Amino acid sequence: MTVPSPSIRPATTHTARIALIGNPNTGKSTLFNALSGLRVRTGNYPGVTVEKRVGRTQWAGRNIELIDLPGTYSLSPKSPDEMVAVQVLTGCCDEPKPDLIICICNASALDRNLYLATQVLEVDCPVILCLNMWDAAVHSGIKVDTESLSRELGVRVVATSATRREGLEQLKAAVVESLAKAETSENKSPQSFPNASRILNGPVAVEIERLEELLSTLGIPAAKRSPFLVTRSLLDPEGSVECLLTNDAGPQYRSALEESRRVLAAAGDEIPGVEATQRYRFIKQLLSRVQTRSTAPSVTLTDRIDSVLTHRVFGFLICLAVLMFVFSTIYWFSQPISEGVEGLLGWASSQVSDSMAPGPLRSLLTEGIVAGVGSVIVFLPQICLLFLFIGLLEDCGYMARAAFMMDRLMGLLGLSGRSFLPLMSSFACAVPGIMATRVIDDRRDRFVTILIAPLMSCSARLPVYVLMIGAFIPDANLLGGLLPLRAVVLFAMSTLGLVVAVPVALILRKTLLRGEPSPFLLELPDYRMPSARIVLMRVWESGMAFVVRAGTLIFATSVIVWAAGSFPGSHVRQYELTAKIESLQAEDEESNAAAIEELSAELNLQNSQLLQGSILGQAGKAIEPFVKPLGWDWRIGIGVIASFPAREVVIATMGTIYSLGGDVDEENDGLRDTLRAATWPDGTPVFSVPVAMSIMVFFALCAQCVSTLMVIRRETNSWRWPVFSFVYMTVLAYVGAFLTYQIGRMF
Amino acid sequence: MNTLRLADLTPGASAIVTAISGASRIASRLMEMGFVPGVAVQVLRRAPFGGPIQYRIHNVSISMRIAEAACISVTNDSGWSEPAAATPASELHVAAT
Repeated sequence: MTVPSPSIRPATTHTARIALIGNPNTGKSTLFNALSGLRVRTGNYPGVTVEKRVGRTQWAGRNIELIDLPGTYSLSPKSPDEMVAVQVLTGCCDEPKPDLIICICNASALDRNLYLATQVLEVDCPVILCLNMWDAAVHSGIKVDTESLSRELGVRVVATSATRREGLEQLKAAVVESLAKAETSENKSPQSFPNASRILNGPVAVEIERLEELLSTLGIPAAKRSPFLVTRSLLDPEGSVECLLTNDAGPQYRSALEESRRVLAAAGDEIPGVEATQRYRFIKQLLSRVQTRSTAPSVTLTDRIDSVLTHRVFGFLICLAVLMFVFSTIYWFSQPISEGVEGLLGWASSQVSDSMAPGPLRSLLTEGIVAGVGSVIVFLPQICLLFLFIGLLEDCGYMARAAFMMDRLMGLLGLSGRSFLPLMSSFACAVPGIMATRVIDDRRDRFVTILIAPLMSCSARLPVYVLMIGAFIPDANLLGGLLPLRAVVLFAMSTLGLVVAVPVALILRKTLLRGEPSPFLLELPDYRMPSARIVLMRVWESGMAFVVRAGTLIFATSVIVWAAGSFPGSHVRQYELTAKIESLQAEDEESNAAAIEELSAELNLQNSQLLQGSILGQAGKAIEPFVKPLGWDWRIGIGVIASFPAREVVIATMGTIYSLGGDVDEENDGLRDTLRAATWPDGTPVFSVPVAMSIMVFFALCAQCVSTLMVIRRETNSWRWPVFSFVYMTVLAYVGAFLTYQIGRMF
Repeated sequence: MNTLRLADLTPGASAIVTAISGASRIASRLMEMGFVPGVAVQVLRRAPFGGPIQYRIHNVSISMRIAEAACISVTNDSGWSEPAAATPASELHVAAT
């Protein structure tokens, strides 16, 4: 797409692109949602993990595309978020630059919010200044004369209260009017901040002018040397704008920039200090003319709440309690919901079975497709619940407090307080936990958190532990009967991942994801009532993102593993037996019980032989030499390979291999007894306490969960990290299982 | 004049920022967030276990670790006057709404 010329585009077909920019905690997302309705698309900006949200709507018959830029404090790029903001505003992001910018400020904190606004005003694009959270400002006695502010800055100023949906119509009208004005205006660059020179003054202004002249003599077109671009190239050493301009203008411009920076340093106006000092001085003077505070700042409601919620002792305990509540709700509530989903799938697959004769298509539908769909939607309840809590905690302002309270604790892992909730959620399930890392603003912290999250003992590991402990760990008590041994082993297995995660995080921080820790500067916004609309939007968006982006890959993998477990092999006898059993069952289940049992036993044997002969089975046998040092035979090897889509699958697979039918669970006595009776060819039992321990350690540390890997792929926007996760966790799991078995064998 | 660092102040204290030092990434981020010379800061409270400290500046609550707070030089609230460009109170434009 190319930039259309403003004079020839017809208003009816052209879609006006409007960028929303603002500090974090200005209610920008609320405003974005209120303006764009439900038609929001989310995605990633190319090459970075910054989330892109675009909403489409129509105002006054005009097509509008709203772009929600990440919350940012400045246009001087220090993070990928800010880089994206600058690239979108200047149109260096493969897309044309926006037709209009709405700059959103928190009306109660203009002193700070106008810093970004003064930078945005310098962009060569019409701007509307939106003073949001106006109701809260009025309530706390802050009055802003919007007309004077508009006159002083030379832009339209609109006051809104997005949560109450006040001022939205005025904002829309202002946008439509500004767009119309920009289109009819003969002037190609419709409006740039007329008073820009008043903000940056003295030697800085002189240098900017000098650089502009140089670019013009170098033959750079006017659009590419706007005062904004020149200013940013001077003030952000090694920033993206400097790169852009030096690419176009060559080394002469680079040396001119260095010369200008030297001149400024000599004049006592060092970069970056000079920009902040001059802008804040301007804002202070401006606000003294347009803003009044009726009362001296007194103790606000937020202060009073904070004196409890961020108290060193009570605050910490409350924080732990809140986060434990979130975790346990997900853990306990998602269980019945997931069971409901499984029940639904069982029903779906029995509907298919009832209406079709046994055959490859039925097998694909019931064991491949329905199971694949199931493995996707079984995560949805947990994802929705977690994002419901995250939405509530973020929207009311508590999330930042939790990060504040937990920062020191997470510092032990080389992470910041923001990693606490994602990691804790991963104890229920790593999939929502990894998605929750979006609350972490630092890229390296976020990646380390994503990489260690799958080590937390999720609920899918529990069935494996329960089966192994129930079958092989003696029901003994330690410490004179006080501590049941089985509980001790269960606890040890559940904490193993966390213990291993500590060195893993520290090593990642020093190797692959090294770098100075980013400054921890966290704004603690005023508390407010969370908005149901915003919270539900967030739940909806994360659920959709999971289903669309990760779900398809999870589904595909499930079907592939089904195929690998079914082919090659002749299924004729299997289908025959199934058909016979079903017809006997339909006839009269009770009188045919003996016959059904006999046929079922043969069917289970068939299933077992087919699995052994399949690609999956052959792969399991092929890896026996590798898993033998762990104390495993090929049957356990098949179980491990088959459980790649999800850890808990290992139990059903073992059930099949041991000819018990695929529908056994961890409490099944038949499976326990069969495992105990399994022997090597020489007659020695396969399973012993060290083997059971080695299997548990393996499953505690391995990455046998395709959903987790696919979510890592989606959240990191690259295949590199899921592959890395799989490799490092499998190596850890192998070494852990090897040591467990070899050491355990000595006793 | 005594040169204090923001990290040295105890909760409840107020001070005026005099200078920012430290790595340029941190220093410029601090300044963008409003920690520029001449601005008043109030210490609100500290997180447990020597964690971050919560400050109030520009009517906004900001928390940072001790390492960042050590980059900010401050002076005690007294004896400070506004920079040369200050506007006298009489010129205050009262909003006519």
